[in-house]
Parts: sequence; C-alpha cells; structure tokens
Amino acid sequence: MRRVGFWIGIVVILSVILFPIIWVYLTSFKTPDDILTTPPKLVFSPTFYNYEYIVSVRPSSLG
Amino acid sequence: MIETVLVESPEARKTFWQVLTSEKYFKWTLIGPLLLTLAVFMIYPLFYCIYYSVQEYVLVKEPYFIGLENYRMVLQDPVFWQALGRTFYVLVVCIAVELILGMAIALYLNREFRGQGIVRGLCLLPLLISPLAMSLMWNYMFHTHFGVVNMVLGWLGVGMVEFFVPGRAIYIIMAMTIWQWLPFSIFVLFAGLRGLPKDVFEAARVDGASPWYSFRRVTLPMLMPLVLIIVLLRTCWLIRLFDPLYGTTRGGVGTELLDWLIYRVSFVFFDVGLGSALAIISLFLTIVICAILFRVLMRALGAAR
Repeated sequence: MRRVGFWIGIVVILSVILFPIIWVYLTSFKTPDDILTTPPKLVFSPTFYNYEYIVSVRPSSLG
Repeated sequence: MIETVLVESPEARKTFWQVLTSEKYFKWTLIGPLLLTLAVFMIYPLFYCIYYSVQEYVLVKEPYFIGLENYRMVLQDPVFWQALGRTFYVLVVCIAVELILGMAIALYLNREFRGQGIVRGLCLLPLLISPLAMSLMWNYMFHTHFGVVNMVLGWLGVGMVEFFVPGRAIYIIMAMTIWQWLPFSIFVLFAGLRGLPKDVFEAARVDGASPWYSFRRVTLPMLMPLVLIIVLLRTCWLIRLFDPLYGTTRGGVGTELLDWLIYRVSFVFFDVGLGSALAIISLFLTIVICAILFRVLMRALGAAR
C-alpha cells in the first residue's frame, strides 16, 4: 500500500514536469488548423507538415 | 676521440614553438586563448558600455558627451524603480518556491526504487530546453481560447481564465521560470543528500528524534552551503531574467523586469546611452548582491568544516 502511494507521488511529480514537453511534442504533429481550436484537440490525425515546412518551405531555414 | 660539443645560444636558436612551451612561458600559452576571448567578448563590451553610458547616443544622431545625465534620468524614472522592485519580487518568490519544492522532491526521490534512474533523468528534462523556445510554447499553452491550461481548468470546473492580464501575468512568468529551473535545485540538493553521512541520521533516530526534527537540525544545517550556492546562482540568473518575457507578454501587462527595460530602451527606442547606463546599474547591483551572498557562502563553508 505504501508503495502504491509512493508511485502515485512519482506520477504526479513527473506529469507536472513532463506535461509541457509532451504537449509541445504532440503539437508538433498537428496541422495549423488543429493547433488553433477551442478546446484543444487531444485526438487528431498526426502529420509531418510542420517538419516538412521548416526544412523546405521557409527560405531562412536549413533547407 | 674528439667530442663535439654543440654550443647553442639559447635565445638565438629557439623556435617560436619552443619559446611557447618553455617553462617560463608555458602558463601564458595555456591561459592565453582564454584571456583573449575574455578581452574580446567581455572586457571590450564592458568598457564600450561604460563609454556609451556617459554619452547622449540615440542611433539617428552623432553621440556627444553629457556626463552622468543618463544615470540621473534612470534614477529619477519611476518606471526603472518599478521594474527593479518587480525584479526583486520575482527573485524572492522564485528562489523560495524553487528551494522548498526542490527540497521536497529531492527528499522524495532520495530512496532506492525500481526505475530510479529513469525517473531522475526525466526530472532533469526541463533544464535541457531552450528557455526562449519554451516561452513561445507557454504563450500558446496559456492562451485563453487555444491553450491546454484552460482546457484542464475547464475539466476541473474553473472555466475560462485569462492569464496575461495585469496582476496575474507576473505569476505566470514566475511559474514558467520555476518550471524551467526547478530541476536545478532538485539535483543540487539531491546530490547533497546522497553525500550526507548515514551515521548521523542513525544516531538521531536512536536518540528518538522525529523525522521533522532530524531534518531541521541535522539535514538542513549540513545542506546549508548547497542551499546558499543555489541562492547565489539563481540570484545571478534571475536578475537578468529575459526569455520568458520575450515569448509571452513582451514587457506588457505589468511584467516589465529590469532586463526587459534595458532591451526596450536600447533596441526599441534606440536610446543606446540610456540603455547602457541601465545595463551598468544592473551589473553593479548584481555584483554587489552576489558579493554579499558569496561572503555568506564562504562563511557557511568555513562553519561546515
């Protein structure tokens, strides 16, 4: 029982620390239309649109 | 048998490389690149800044000497005092929260459990992200309509909250900073806890000390130097807090901190003279505060020994 309580604490700490990073990661696979919705979408069809955009479309980037 | 003795005059025959690696000059060879880098990137800009802080220099006009007029303008400006007060408010709140939370999490993680390496490694992640990129993402996450924070608050039944309004925005800035730098306090304190001798705690337990009492009377005094190191470093870093503002409020809605004021005066109003004076004042404050903290730290280190 004490172990369960301990792991609940670990999960709480980690979710507070990691949630913003996970959300950034998820957002990177959304299309601009999916990003700007109210309320934010948790279920969406992932796309590599943003990654293609930074390596090919924007002239100031690496590509 | 003829012995040939090669007589070398030491000055004439030595190559440049031999001079560099000779015993007399080797130390200068080693620290030379560092000194050069410091001179070019730290000392030259510092004197450049001091030079322009006594000039009236708005980028469209030729600079001319006005003495300490810039400093007088800064010290008479209520905006400067406001920004300074706000900076110290952020400083105190952030360091206090980081120390308390950091100590709590460090104590929580200070035991053996399965997957401890992974959990500790994941706790370190926020430190590795660029603060500027993260501030842009926080701006999106705290957005009133599209933000995920409002979605979570909606689940909890709080409803839509507008975050970047006067009086509230500064706490959002603090929250971002604390989130980013909490791992630093966690890991410094955690390393300290790991290094503490076990026998003292056993002695305390045998003597019937409660966990809270042994924490207050045994752990805390022994960790005092580390706490002071965190306070010292975080003070240096928080006085020039800039990144969270750049992505979010851009100095608006009552969040203008000292460094943002310098940026705004120098690169938005292009009043380089006034900006330089502000920067010199900020540098002076940082040096004074950190010198005091450093002395306290050195005394604590002497007492701990």
